Formats: sequence, structure tokens, C-alpha cells
Amino acid sequence: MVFFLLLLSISVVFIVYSNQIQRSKYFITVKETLGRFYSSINIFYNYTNLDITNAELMKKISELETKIYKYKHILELLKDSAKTSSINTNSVHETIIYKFVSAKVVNNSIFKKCNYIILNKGAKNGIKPDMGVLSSNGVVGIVKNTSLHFSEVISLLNTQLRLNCKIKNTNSFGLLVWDGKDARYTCLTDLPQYVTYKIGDTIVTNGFSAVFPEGIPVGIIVNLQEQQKNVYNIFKVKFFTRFDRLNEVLIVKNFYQKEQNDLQKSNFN
Amino acid sequence: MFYSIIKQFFIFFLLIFLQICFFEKIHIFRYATPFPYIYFIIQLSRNINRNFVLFFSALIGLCIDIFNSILGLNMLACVIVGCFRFYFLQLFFQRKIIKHYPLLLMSFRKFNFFYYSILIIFLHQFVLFIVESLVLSNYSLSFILQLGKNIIITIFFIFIFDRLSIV
Repeated sequence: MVFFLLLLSISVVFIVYSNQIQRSKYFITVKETLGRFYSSINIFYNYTNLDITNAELMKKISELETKIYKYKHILELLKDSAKTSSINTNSVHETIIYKFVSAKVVNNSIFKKCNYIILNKGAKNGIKPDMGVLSSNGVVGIVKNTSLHFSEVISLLNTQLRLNCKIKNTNSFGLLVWDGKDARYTCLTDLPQYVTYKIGDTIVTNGFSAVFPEGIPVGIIVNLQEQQKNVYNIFKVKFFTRFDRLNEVLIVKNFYQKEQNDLQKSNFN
Repeated sequence: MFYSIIKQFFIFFLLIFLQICFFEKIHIFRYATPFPYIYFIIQLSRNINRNFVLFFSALIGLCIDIFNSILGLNMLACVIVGCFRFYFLQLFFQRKIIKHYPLLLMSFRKFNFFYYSILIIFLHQFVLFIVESLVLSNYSLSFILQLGKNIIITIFFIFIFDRLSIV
């Protein structure tokens, strides 16, 4: 009986401190081995998704091609105007704030209440905690911690993650919180009732937290789910990202993230 | 004796491997995930010391947890199951029957094994479900549906394992 109580209390302590213990540096070696283990299994799972991934990549390529031609055209125009008036071309280089690093999903889950994704890029590739993760369709999650070759991402399908978003047309912002039920839908909360909306409005990120660039698509409003205390609305939002078919993602590096965070911290203090 | 220890270790690692690589990724009817690793606790022979049963239950739970999101969740459920297993056995298992046999369908009367397994699986899923809801404070009715589905699907796999181990 004593042994039972001892084991019981150990497990309770584990549960209570699970967020602090499991996600901290002590488990980095475990994470590294786990990453290697999952990436060897994942070779098998990836084959089943190849055709869908290919189709998505082709679509993305075609979009990028059109963009390239558009910018080429703009460049031509700029060159022409540069001949007539002087434009400081150095300023163009300075405006690069975000850099994107592609990574492969090594392990993913969608049916738990706290879902995490493991990616095959880690500290060695310059990945740090609090970087944003995107798929070709939209937002995926935020990097939680990294080991040398792998990084762990809190997926949007995690009841503990709160993401600042806004409705694209009206610019009014709310919090995106997953209710833990369906991997295709999430909830947009904390929107005041006076905010006007239409079913089918696009939800995008706002650049408040310096994790994501502004205007990355998240999902569309499906319906009004609940009115809370007659003050706030809760909307049901359909994800653009298909989390069950996640394979290739992009990690966002923001060169000014530290600067922005430090400024916000100093404001709080 | 030596053979049975080796066999237990083999079952231990095999069940963990299967749970992590395959059963974690199975979602039948969109929610139901089987947890057949609990078969390890079900099949342990009756004459093993209670503390050993508790220790190995905790260990297998912890091993599953390392690969999962919340550390200690499966461990807690397994420790509770390991403790109550003793009482369930007394309910269904008469002393007359030879002690040293592992608990298989053959050593029980058919229905007794069935009830015994169902009780253990139910308890395990119930604890898992309640603790997870408490930790995440996200309790809702749809999860009760999930609980039922998980139990049914786990029972199904336990009986497949049971048939295999007789062979």
C-alpha cells in the first residue's frame, strides 16, 4: 500500500509539473533520440501522402511563378524610373525582415488535446524557440523548444496555445483558441459584439507578437458559435491548413523579433 | 521460470513498440484510439508480488508517457490499475486453479476473463479520461463518447493478443 501511494504521488507530481519538466532542457537528449526514432518511422508514413503533397507543391509553385513575373515587371518599371530619378537601392535590402526555412514534419498528432509536431530542423539550422511555423496553406504553430537537429512545435491544435488573430476585412482582432474537439475547426474568441462580420470572412495573423508576419491566412469563419455574457462573440473557424496531411512546413525567422519583444517587456516593467 | 521472465520482457517491449508506432496513430471512427499496452498488466501471472506488479505497471505507463504529451498521465492510470488488479482477480479467480499459469483465456472460465479484462480496461480508460479532462480543464460530453469507443476498440485488440499468446 505504501509503495502504491509512493508511485501514485510520483505520477501526480509528474502530471502537475509536466509542462515545466517535460518541455524543458532536461529532456533535450530524450527529444533528440525521439526525433531520430520518429524520422525513421516517418519514412513509411510519408509515402502514403506523396501525391497530395505533390499537388500542393505544384499549386504553390504556380503561385510563386506568377508572383515572380509580377515582381519582374515591377523591377523593370523601377529600373526605368531609376534612370530618371535617384532611388536609394540600399534601402530595399534593409527591408528584409523575415526569412523562411523549410523543414519536414517528423512526427505529428491531431487527436490528442495537446498536440505537438516534431520537425527535422533544430538549433544547428538556427531555429530558436518562439519562431512561427507555416504550411503552404496557412499557420501551423509556434516552435516551443529545440534540440540540436530537431525542434518541437506547439500545433494550433493545442488547447494551451492562444494566437492573436484578426478578421481580414475589418482589422478587428481576437484570440484563436482550439477547443480540443475537431482537427478541422477552431474558435476565434474575445471579439466584441459590435464587430461586424460575414460568414466566410478570412482570419489572418496580426503582427503583434513578432512571431508571424502580418496577414498570414489562418482560416475562414464558418458560423457564430456562441455569445458570451452578451459582450463577446465566439466564432467557429475552419483551418486552411490540413493538419492530418502536414508534411512540408516553413519556419519563420524574424530578424527584429528580439528587439520587438525587448521593447514590449520594457513597457511592462 | 527463466523462460517466463524473458517472455515477459519481450511482451513489455513489444507492446510499447506497437503502441507508439502503430496504435497511437490509429483513430477508428475519428476518435477511438486503442490502448492495448494494458494487456501487459492483464496477463501478468497471479503469483507475482504485488509491489512488482505496481512497479512494472508504473514503468510501462511512464514509457508510454515519454512519447506522449502529458508526462505521468498513463503512469497514474497504470498504477491505479495495477493496484485494483489484485481485487479484480479475487473477484473472478478461484484459488483452486493452478497459480503459476499466466492469465490467459484458458486458465479462466471464458466469461470470467472477459469481465476481468473489461473491468481493467474500463478503469484504465476512466482514470485516463478524468485526469486528462482535469488537467486540460476541457470537460465535455463528446469525450464520454470517445471514452466508450476507446474501451471497445481496446477490448477488441486485447482479445486478439490473448488468442495469439495461446498459440
